[in-house]
Amino acid sequence: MDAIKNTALYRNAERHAALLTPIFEREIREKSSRYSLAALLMRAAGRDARLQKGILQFVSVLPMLSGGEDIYEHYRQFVLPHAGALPPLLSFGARLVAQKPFRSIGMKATVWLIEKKVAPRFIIADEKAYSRAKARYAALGAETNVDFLGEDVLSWAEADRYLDFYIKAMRRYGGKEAPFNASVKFSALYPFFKPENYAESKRVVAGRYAELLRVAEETNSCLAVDAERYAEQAIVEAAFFDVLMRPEFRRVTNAKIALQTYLKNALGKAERFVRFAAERRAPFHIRLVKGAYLETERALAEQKGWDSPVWGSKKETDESFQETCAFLMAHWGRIFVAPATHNPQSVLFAQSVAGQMGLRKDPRFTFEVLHGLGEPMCRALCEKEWRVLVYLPLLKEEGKLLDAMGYFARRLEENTAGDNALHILAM
Amino acid sequence: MHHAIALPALQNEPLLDFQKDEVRDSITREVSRLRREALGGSMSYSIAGVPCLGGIPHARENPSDIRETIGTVGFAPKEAVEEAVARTLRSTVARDWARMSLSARAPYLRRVAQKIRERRYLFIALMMLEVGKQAHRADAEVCEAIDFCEHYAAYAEFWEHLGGALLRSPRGEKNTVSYRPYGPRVPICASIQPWNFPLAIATGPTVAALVCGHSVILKPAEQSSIIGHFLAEAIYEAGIPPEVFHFLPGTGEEVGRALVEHEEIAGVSFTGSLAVCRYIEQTLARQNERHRGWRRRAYTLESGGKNPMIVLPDADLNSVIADADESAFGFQGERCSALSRLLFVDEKGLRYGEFMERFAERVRSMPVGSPEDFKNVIGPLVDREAYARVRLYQALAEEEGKIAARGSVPEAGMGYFVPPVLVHGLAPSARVAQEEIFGPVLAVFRTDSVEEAIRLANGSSFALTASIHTNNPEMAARIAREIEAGVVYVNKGTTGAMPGRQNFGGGKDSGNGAKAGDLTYLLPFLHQTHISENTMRCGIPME
Repeated sequence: MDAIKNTALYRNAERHAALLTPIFEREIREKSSRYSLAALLMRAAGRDARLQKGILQFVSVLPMLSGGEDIYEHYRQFVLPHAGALPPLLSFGARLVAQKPFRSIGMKATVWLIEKKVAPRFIIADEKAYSRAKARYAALGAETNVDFLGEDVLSWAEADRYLDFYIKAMRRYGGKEAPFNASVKFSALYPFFKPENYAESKRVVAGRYAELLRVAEETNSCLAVDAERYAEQAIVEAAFFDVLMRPEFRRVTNAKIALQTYLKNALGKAERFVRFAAERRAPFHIRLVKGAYLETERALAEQKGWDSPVWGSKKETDESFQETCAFLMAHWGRIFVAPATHNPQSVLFAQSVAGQMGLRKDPRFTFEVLHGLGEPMCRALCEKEWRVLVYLPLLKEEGKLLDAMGYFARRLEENTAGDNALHILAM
Repeated sequence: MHHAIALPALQNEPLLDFQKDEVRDSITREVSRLRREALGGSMSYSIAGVPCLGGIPHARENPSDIRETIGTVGFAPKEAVEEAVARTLRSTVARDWARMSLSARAPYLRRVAQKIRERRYLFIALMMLEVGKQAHRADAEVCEAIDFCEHYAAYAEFWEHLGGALLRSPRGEKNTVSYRPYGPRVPICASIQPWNFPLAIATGPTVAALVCGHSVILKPAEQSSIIGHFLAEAIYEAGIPPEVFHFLPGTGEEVGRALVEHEEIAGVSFTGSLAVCRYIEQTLARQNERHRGWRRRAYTLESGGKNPMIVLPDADLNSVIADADESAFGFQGERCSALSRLLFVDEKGLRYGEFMERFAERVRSMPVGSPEDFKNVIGPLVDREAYARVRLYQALAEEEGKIAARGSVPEAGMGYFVPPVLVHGLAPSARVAQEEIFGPVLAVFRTDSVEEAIRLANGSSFALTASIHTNNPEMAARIAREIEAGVVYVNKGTTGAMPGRQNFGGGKDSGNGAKAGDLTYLLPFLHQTHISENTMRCGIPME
């Protein structure tokens, strides 16, 4: 691991990032909306862990609730006890809506605010919103990638519907003036996707991924394979390798897979990816992320009696991101890297590495951000003419915004965690 | 004076990580090795560590493919019980074992744990072959067996260190407690254990009795005697004095009955059917009526369950279905903690339809087949008798209710495979809703209120485990208080108890309340002697 840290490429990038981070952070802060309801809520949640957990629980249970009383019951237990941690006006409002005379309308108003004002900042609800978001990002100079929400699959029928949905989406949106980018979750392709069922999981998802890749080829679409939890990630990688080594896909170069740098073995995985690309003799893309299941991974490891597979601190994760990024970028051409982070220092690091390697204008070098959370970063990068791909979380069933509350809760958790870069900037 | 007595600091044995190639390969290799080498040799009953020739040969078939004989075990005749008891009572080693301190015996258990650890893949492979258990579940069971050894070793030390610390000793009076094994000078425990957790449940009560100073006669179930043989081997190799441990595989009718009825045996630990639990209790009570001296005792009794899951409409259906599936159909439903009744509270009928439709699709998707093929979620039932019984219940389910979904079985299967079945429309008093089936059958009820769901949940003679799925914490707490069960899980399935985390044991017809994995589990095996000394000499306190 130290080998990459001792290179001039790494040291220069580290110096560059350290020097420019305060300026870049100020720039991001200036571009952030500080007084929207979502921003106020997130800031408050970030300050008070109990409020954060309360909001998360309330938001995630919303799709299951049937009416005013039911909503109030959960609101009373999850949000009300911590309403004092909200800014004064919000706190007053939060208590007011729970008062008996206003309760019925108050609960409706609360759900309306979440559904219409807060959630749409992070989730694309329908076709119109998708077109609007796409146009808005295109105006900034950014491309978009669709991330269809609702990937829990319990039966063959559901897995078949998921597969079918992607095929139809590629046929519908692909093949136009620009490629259609979408993310796919392997665990949603097979209802018994489990580490103990490794061989069959790999066989089935590889078969289905191949089917998707064929359509992607036909329709000028690009599929990014999403990261899964640690225990399932080995299957994802094995199936990905398996398909890309098949003669019919050996020349495909726009395949993409996520690599989570909060994993302690991230660099080892990066080395394996590079070796695989060399063996395959054709490049593919790596979406370099920090990882979205930090607390889950820690909890699951503790439950199973394993050492945590993820780094214990933000500093270690950031370092891992830099090392893995530098390592992969050093093999540019054999593989392509898309840094996907909202952390200004990590972005600056990747920019410096790209600059040193003469990739500033390379169309294959792209930063990736999330819709809603990464917008200030997107603006800042586009202004400096870096290429950006924005992930748009899109509902599979139009209008059912509440069904996506699980995704919303995860984003809320991720971005109100005390050591999250965006959260720190927002405070 | 304050004594600082540390609580045992324990951890559960880590599970295997099945995404690693070497883990899956090691299991497959071990299965092949067992077939090739290990199971052909002689496996017989043993007394004081000496294998006894001349047992009654019992061939065990592979429940996934009955054309294959896994191995042959020499079953003990009932006379072997007398021989083992006599041998123990004559043994000075057994007498000395009973006199040793708890903490002196604890290291033996840690060595048993280590021997099981060293045989991890062997036991996983054996469970796959002999009782049709899936590899990852077999691994969890190996961990549980190790946990029992480690936990009971630590608890034994704890009780000894606790001594009389909780007793008040005013000046001039010293009060202490000493622990000795319950029973006569050479106490013997008959450990009669089941086939569904052939390693963990056979290990737990056996090592608990051993660490408390008993000599133990272990009788495994007929269906899992090969696993019992290898467990006995591990116990002997761990250095447990041979005179204090005997391995008597055999039939329940012969060896089991002889053990239960033998008046020189201080007590019995049993896990199995309710009928046998009742027989043991009646036998001991009858004998104790005319018995003088130490009353014969049922140290631990655990029978079955008819475990409910209450689902409220605010629950996450993905989790409900995943947990219900694992609890009801995992290991073919052959767990006493298996989910057998799901009570869906949905007064307005808003979510029940979606739930049933998705769950039915899931049930129809489940692969059934040999656990050697890791893709199979459901394996074979343990033997012909279980197969016939579950088939009868599945037919009865069709008569008493409506089948919402039925899975499929391998077409050319030569094993005891039955499909998973989801049944609804049953009356709460229906046999399928009341009797323990021990197979992959789940009865679903829709109720209009939480009160009705609790009433139905408690309307069973069993009270082992229960589960509640809701996102309403107050409601979860209320149901947990009112539901009758030994272990209540919230937003989890009804299975998967781990020592030190969810100590396992139920009430009503499910057992006598002993909590496997708990600190108190050792107490029935022990007799407390309180010693109170006057420390005044010449009117002066001498402490």
